Amino acid sequence: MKRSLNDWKTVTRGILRRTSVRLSISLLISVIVVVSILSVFSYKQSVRIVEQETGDAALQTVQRTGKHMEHILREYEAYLDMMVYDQELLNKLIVLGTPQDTTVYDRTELELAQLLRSYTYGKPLGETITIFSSDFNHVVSTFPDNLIHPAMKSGNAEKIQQMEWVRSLDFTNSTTLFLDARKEAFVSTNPSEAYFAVARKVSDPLKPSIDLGVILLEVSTSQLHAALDGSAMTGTSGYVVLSEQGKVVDSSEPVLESGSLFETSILEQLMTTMTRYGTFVSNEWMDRDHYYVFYTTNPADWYILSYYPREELLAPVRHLLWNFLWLAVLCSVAAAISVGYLMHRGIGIPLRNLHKVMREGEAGNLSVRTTDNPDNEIGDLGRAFNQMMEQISLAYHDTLTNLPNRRYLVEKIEQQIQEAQASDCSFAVLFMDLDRFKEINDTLGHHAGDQLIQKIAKRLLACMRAEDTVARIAGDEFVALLPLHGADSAEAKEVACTIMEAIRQPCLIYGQELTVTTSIGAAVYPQDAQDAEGLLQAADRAMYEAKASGKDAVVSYQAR
Amino acid sequence: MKTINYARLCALFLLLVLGASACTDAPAPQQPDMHGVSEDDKTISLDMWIISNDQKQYHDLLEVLQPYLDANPDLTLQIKVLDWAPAWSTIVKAVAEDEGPDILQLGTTWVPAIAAMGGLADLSPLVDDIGGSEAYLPSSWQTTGILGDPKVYAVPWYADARAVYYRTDAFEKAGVDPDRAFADWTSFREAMHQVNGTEIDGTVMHAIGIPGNQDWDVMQNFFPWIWGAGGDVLTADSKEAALNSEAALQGILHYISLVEEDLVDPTSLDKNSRQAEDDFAEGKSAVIISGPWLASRLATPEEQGGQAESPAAEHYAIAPIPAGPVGRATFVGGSNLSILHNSNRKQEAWELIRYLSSAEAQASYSAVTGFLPARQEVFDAAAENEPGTAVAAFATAVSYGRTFPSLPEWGAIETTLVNRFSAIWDLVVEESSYNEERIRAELDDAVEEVNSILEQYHQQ
Repeated sequence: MKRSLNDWKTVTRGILRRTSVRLSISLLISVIVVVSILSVFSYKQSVRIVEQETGDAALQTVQRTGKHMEHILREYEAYLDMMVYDQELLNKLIVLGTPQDTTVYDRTELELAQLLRSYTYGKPLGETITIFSSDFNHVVSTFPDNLIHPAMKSGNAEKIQQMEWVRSLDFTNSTTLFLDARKEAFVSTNPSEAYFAVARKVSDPLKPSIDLGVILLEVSTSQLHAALDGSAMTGTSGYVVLSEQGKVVDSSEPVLESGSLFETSILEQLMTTMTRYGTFVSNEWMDRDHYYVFYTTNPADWYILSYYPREELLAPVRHLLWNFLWLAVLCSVAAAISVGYLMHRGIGIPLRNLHKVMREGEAGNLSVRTTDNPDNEIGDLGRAFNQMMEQISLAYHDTLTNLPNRRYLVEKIEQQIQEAQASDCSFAVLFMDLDRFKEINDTLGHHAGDQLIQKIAKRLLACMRAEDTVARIAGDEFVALLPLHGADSAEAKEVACTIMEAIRQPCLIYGQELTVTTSIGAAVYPQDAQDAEGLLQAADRAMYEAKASGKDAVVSYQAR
Repeated sequence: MKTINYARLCALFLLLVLGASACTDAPAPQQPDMHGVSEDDKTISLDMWIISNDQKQYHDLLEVLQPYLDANPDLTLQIKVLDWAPAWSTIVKAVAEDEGPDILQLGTTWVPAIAAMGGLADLSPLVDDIGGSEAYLPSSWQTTGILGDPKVYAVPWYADARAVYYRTDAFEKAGVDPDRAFADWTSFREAMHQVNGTEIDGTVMHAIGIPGNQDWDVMQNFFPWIWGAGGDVLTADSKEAALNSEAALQGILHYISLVEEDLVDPTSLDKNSRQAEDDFAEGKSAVIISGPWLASRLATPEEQGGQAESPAAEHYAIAPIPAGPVGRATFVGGSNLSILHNSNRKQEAWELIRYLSSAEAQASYSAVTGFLPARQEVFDAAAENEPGTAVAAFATAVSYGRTFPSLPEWGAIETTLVNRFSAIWDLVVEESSYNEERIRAELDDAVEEVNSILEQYHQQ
C-alpha cells in the first residue's frame, strides 16, 4: 500500500519528535562538528610539518646538487685558467698577434692547433675550444677544427661581431663568463645538441694591458645533464638549470628546450630573492601549485631550481584526512545509534508505557498502575502516578465492593448526558434496593451483611454489558447506568430482569444459604429527567413503587 | 627528495587529532653544535713556495730552518713544493690573481718578469741588513732586479752551475788523461770515443748521458755549447733574438753530434736530468754534465734518499766544461727568495729570509743540498777550505759561468726556447728528419717567436 507524502511527513515527524532520535541527532552533529574542527586543525598542522620536512630535504638535495654543479663549473673555470697562464699558448698568441710572414703565421697556427689538441688529452669533458682574436675579427684556432659555425668559417668579421652572444660578452666585472645554453649559436654546430659556453679573455699576465684573444670553451648540455640527473631529483619532481638571465641551460623536463626563457613569473620571484638559496610556492607555471627550491651557483650565478607539485606532496596527508573523517563519521553514527537505542530503552519506552497507563486512567480505569518502575526519575514518576491513582480510587469507589460510589456515578451520568446530547442517544438508570436486607443484617450481623453486599456486587457486575456501569451508592442500594441502543427502554428491562434473576440465586454466607431479591426502579434519559439528580430521584421513586408492588420487581418511572 | 614516512605521518596525525600535542609547535630543526670555535690564537702563519723536482729539498729546508723555528714557536710555516716544469705558469697565475704565498722562491731568470708584473715587494730598504750587494756572488746579485731598475726584488738564496762529472775508474781503464780530456771540444770528443764501451764490474758504459726533450733543464743543457761556440740567445743590446746565428748553430750541432756518434745511450734522450744522473750513478755512462746537487746525492746514504752506495760514488771527479772555439762557458743559475707584494706578513717573511741569508744557514743549506752558497764569504770559505771537493770544483765553474739577461720578458722567452730545444731533440730522435737545415729552421722559428715577444714588450 502506497503512503502519501503527508503520511511520510507524519511518520517522519513522529520519528523526529522522539527524544532518543533528537538526542542521537544532536550527539551526531556535535561529534561531527568537533571531529571536523580537530581534523581541519590537524590537517593544517600535518601539512605544515610535511611541507617543512619536505622543504628542508629538498633544499638539502638542491644544495648538494648545486655544489656539485659549482664543482663542474669551477672545473671549466680552472681549465680556462690553466690555458690563459700557459706561456706556450701565450707565446703562440703573441706571435699570431704580431705582423708575420704567411709561413710563420701558418706554422704558428698549426702549432697552436696542436697545443689545443694537447689540452683535451685525458679530459673526457667533451668540450670544444675556440680562440678568437681579441677584436673578434677572426677565429684564431679551434679544436676540433671541423666544428665551425658557418659565419666563423667564412671569416666574416662583421658577421662574427654581429652574433648576439659575441656582443653580449662583457669582461668588465669578471674574467670568466658563463654563457647561456643554445643550439647552433656558438662555434660547434652539432644540430642535435645544445651547448653552453665558458669564455675567458686572454691577456699577457706580464702586461695585462695587452689583449691576446678570447677563449671559448663550449660544453654540450648533455654533459651537464649526465652529471646532474642522478643527483638532482627523483619521482615526480624535476629540476631546471637556469642561466643568470633566466634561460634554460639544462632541465629534467624534455619540453623545456635549452636556450629558451623560463616562465617569467617564476623568474621574477627567483631574481628578486636576495638569498643564494631558498624556497617558494607558486601556481604560475603548468597551472599547478608547485614548491620551488633554488640554489644560486658561484661561479656563474646560475640557478638550479627544483620543483615538485604541491598536490602530490599533500596527497598522502589528504588521503589520511579522508580516511580519518570517514572513520570518524562511521564511529559517530554507530555511537549515536547506540546512544539512541539506550535512550529509547531507558527513557522512551518507559515514558511511552507511563503515557499509555495514564491515558487508561484518564479513560476511567482507576485500577491501572504502572509496573517495573526503574530506579530513576521515570520510576519515580510511575510511582507518583500509582499513588495518585490510589487517591483517585478512594474518592470515587466504594471500598467494600470496589464498585464506583455515588460521586463517581453522578459524574458518569453527567458525562453520559453530554455524550447522549451529542449523539442523540438515550440511556437508562436502574435504581436497585435489596429486599429483606435489613432483616439479614439484623439477624446475622453486619459482617454477614457486608459479605452478602460483596457477593451481590459481583453478581451485578457480571450482569453488566461492556458499556454499562454499576455503582453502590448506599447500604444495600445499587445503581446501574445502561446506555440504550434502541429507541425504547426494552433493553433496560431485559438487563433489569437478568439482574433480578441473578440476585434471586441463593448466597452462601457463613454456611447459611440466603436468598435475597431486589426491587428495581428504572428511569430513562431524556424522557424521565434531564439531569443526574433528576434521573436518580425518578429511578428511586420507581424503585419504591416496585417495593410497594410486592418487591422483586422492576418498575419504570411514570411521571405524574 | 626525502620520502614521506607514512607510519610517522599517521602517528603524528592521530596524535594531533587526539589533542595531546594539538597545540605544540612542529619540532624545530636542531641547531648545530656551536663547539669547535677556534680560540683566538697568536700563532703567525707564513706560506712559502719552493721549487724542486723532489721532496729532498723540502726536508733539507726544514732541517736548516729547525733552529729558527725552535726560536720562534709561534711561527707556523706552510711550505708548498712546486715542480719546476709547471712552476712558471703557477707562479704567474698566483701573482696575477693575488693568490700567492708570503715567501716565494724564484728561478734567477724569473725575477725580472714577476717584479715587472708588480708582484714582488721592493726589498731595497732592507738589503743592508744582510750586507747588500757586496755580500753576494756578483752573478747571483745581478738576478735580483730588472735590468735598468735599481730596485732589489729578491735575495739570492743559492747558486748552481753545471760542470762535468766523470768516472775516474773508467777513464783510467780507457787510458784517458782527465787533465787533457776536458781542455777543449776536440779533446773531449776524443776522450769520449776512448771511454765509450768501457766495461766496469761487468757493465758496459756509454761515454756520456744526455737527457732529451723530457728534461726541465733542456735549455740549460744546450747553452754551454752555444756560448762556447760564440753564440747567444739575444743580441748584445737584448733587442733581438740571435739564436739562429751560425755560431749558435755550430754549438748545437756539436752537442747533438755526441748522440750521432753513438757516444750516448739512445734511451737517454727519453729521460730527464734525474734519470740521466741515475744512469751515471749506476755506472751506465762514464760522463754526465750536471750541477752540484749530484755530488751531494752521491755523498748521501741511500737510506736518506742519496746514492752513496752506487758504483759511481767512490769513483768520480768533477771537471770543467770543455772550452769551445771562443772559450769556456757554463750556465750559472740558482734561486732567489722574494716576498710577494700582497703579503700581509712582510716583516715576518723578511725575518725568515734574513735567517736563510745568514752565513750559518747558507753554509748548512749548501752542505745538505749541495747547492752553492750565494753568499760570497760562505762560497769563498767552502772553496778555499776544501780544495778538491765538489764545492771547489763548482766554485771554479762559477768563475766562467754565464747567465741569461734579466729581462721581464725572459719567462716568456724561456718557454719558447724550451719548446724549440725539445723540438730539436725530437728531430734528433727521428733520425730521418734530422739535418742541419731542419735545426736551422727550428732556430729561425725560435727567433721569430722570441722577436715577437720582444716586440710585444717594447711596444707602447
